[in-house]
Amino acid sequence: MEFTSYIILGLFFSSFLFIGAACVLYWAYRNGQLNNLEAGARSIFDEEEEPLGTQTDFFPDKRRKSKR
Amino acid sequence: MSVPASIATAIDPRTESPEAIRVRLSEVDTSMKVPGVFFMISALFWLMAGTVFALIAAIKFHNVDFLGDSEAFTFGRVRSAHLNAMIYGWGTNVIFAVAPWIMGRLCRTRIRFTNILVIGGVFWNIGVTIGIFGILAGDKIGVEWLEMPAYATPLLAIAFACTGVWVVLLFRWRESGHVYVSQWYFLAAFFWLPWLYTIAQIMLVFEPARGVVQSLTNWWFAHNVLGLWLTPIALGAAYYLIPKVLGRPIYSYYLSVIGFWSLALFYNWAGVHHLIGGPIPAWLISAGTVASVMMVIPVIVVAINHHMTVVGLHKEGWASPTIRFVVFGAINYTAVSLLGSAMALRSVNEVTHFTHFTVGHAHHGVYSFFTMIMFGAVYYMMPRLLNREWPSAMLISLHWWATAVGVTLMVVVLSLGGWIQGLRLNAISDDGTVVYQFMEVMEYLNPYMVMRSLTGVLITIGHVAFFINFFWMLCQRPDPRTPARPTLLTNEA
Amino acid sequence: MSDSDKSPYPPSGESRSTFEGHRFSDEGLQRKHAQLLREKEEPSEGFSPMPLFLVFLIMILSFWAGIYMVEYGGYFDAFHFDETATPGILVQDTGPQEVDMLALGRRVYSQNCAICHGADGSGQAGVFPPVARADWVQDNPERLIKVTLAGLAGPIEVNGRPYNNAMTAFGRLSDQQIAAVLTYIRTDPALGNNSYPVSPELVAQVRAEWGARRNAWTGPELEEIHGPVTGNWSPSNGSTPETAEE
Repeated sequence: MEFTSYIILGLFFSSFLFIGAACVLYWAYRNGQLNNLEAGARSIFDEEEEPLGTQTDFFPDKRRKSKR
Repeated sequence: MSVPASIATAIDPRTESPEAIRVRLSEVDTSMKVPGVFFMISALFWLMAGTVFALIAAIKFHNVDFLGDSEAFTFGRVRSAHLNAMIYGWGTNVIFAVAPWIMGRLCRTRIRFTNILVIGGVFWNIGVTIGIFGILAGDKIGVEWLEMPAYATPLLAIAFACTGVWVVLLFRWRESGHVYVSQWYFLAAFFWLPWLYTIAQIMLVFEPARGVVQSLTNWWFAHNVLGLWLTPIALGAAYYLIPKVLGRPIYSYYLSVIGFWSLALFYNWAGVHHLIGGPIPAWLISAGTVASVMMVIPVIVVAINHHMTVVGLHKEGWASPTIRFVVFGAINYTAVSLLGSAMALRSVNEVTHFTHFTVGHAHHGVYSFFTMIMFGAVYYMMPRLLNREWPSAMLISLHWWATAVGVTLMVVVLSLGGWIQGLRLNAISDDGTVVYQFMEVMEYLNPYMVMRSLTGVLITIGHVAFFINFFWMLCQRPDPRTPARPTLLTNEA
Repeated sequence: MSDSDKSPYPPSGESRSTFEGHRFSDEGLQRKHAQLLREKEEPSEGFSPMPLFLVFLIMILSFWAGIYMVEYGGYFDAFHFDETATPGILVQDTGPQEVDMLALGRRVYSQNCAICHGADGSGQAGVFPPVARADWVQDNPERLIKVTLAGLAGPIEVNGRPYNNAMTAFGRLSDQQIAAVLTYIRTDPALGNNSYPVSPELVAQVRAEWGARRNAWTGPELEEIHGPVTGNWSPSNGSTPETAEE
């Protein structure tokens, strides 16, 4: 009996999570987040500071050597 | 204006002009400087403390009398102190340093109210300190991954709320149209952990559930701290860092969306497989096994994505400390998750359960995957926060080689030893007696335990190198010629 | 540095005095940039199809998951703990079982005795007396039962060699377990002893007589009751009631 009551309690709490996830997925769809996915992949690059096609991290000594 | 109203205004993005919100990456970096450095210093001290606890616990396996006179350093306490120092001390502090920074960069907005972030961090560290001392003093709770005594946990919950809320609020200020996959992972993680922690605290510490529900809740929580907190953060960081460092967009963004949602769907079921063989209703364990095996989908998706992004750029990647660590972590994510799916099968679990194989698997996940990606993120983040270069390439190399070789060897040693241990413990002769006495199996494992301690020493060397490099960097005076932007992008000449 | 010359994204040579300004004058960089852009812009709607094998993988895994849940779902019953069992069929009571005393004895020995006396019964010189080829073992079973129930402390001689240590009491074991383990050490050919078996009734009798005793026996005490250890006891020459015989 106790086990069943725990299951019901668990279902109650987890339903929040699942409904929440469903709402978020619906929001993402309505918001157009799932439309142009490949452009989304490029959204992390910044033309001014860290542009596409440029490596942005090196070992410190590598950079010093190339400076000379 | 009342206080709540003024707070509401202060956190409302509409009260700021759009120009003030969309900022340059370097401005995000500057705004994160103080909290970032604070969290990194805390994380590093916990990393070193956790390493010491780990070494003590490891030595006790082959040298039982080691520190045997000291009550605080008995195995049961030191092991828990190690685990909690690493998860809540190192892991969560480094997440508090890295996650808001990446989130801010992706949202194109500076981090606001950083002093509240720091205050939350101070209380978090006080809470963890109280918790660890509580464990060493013998007040620990007998629930794995939740050993901290009840007097430390409310403080942790409040501190987490103070800190985590800013990561979520950053999203509200976002000034980039697209929500990148890392943002999905981070947001989800910062919702999941409080949820997990609250339910676990209520059901295990303050109003403990009775019977097997207690152990079910325990393993649901423990596995999900890894699966719904450490994993999404590390994956989000990898999804940001790999394309960013290499300057090449992620191979298939479509796949990354599938990966995120299938992880969200399957991972939180998986913890039950820790209770295979226990008096748990069979369908629950079967559901856990199925979910663990279904985790293959997000894992394969992430593996394809990360691999295809890096492919062809191996030399460039090798020249970047960040990529070395992150790719090592990403490869191990694939390996550890596929192994984990296999371990959830009943026939495999019968052998690996209660052996060192599980210990090896835990280190594979939390260290080879999570911690290595976090190391990579720190190597990328710190020069940008401080406008300084890492002082020593040699120390970075040492850190990478010592930890990568150390943890790989450790996982191999523990998996091999654990597998043989499991086979021998289970071995039954025809007349129903055990083939190997328990003590015989333990004696057989002794060389493996010595090896494990040696790999621990190797990892410690790596941590010390990282520690020295980090504080050396902090103590350096900034180069006056360096402009106020990420140093790694500018040519100093 | 030679490898940075070949590298598509060099940490730069002289051509880029400031990175920002000269970014687009670096030909190699531009070329690579263009390549990458071209590479990524093929899917027109920004929608790359899912790799086919992944579709198959998901299908196979879902199929397997369904089968697994049906096979090992335990009928979704909260009180069904064994995934392989069918409901309704309980374990059938087939009446009292014949116990193989040797097998039971071997198991009890390996769980309780082997830690000190050794898996092969050889013991350890001066500390743990042997049970293999030992005069004590082949002597009066009552002496052994007493030792097993309450333990033994102080100096004794086994096979003429001195031993001095304390043996734990095993009174918590059942009469049948004690009878089985003593039968095992007295009769199993692997231990080199060739004596008579011990019955649970004899153990029960000794327990009824001496069960209240809490402190361990000593060698001289036992000698007072049973006489010196000879190692060639048999029901006929010993002063043991008939219950010792099968």
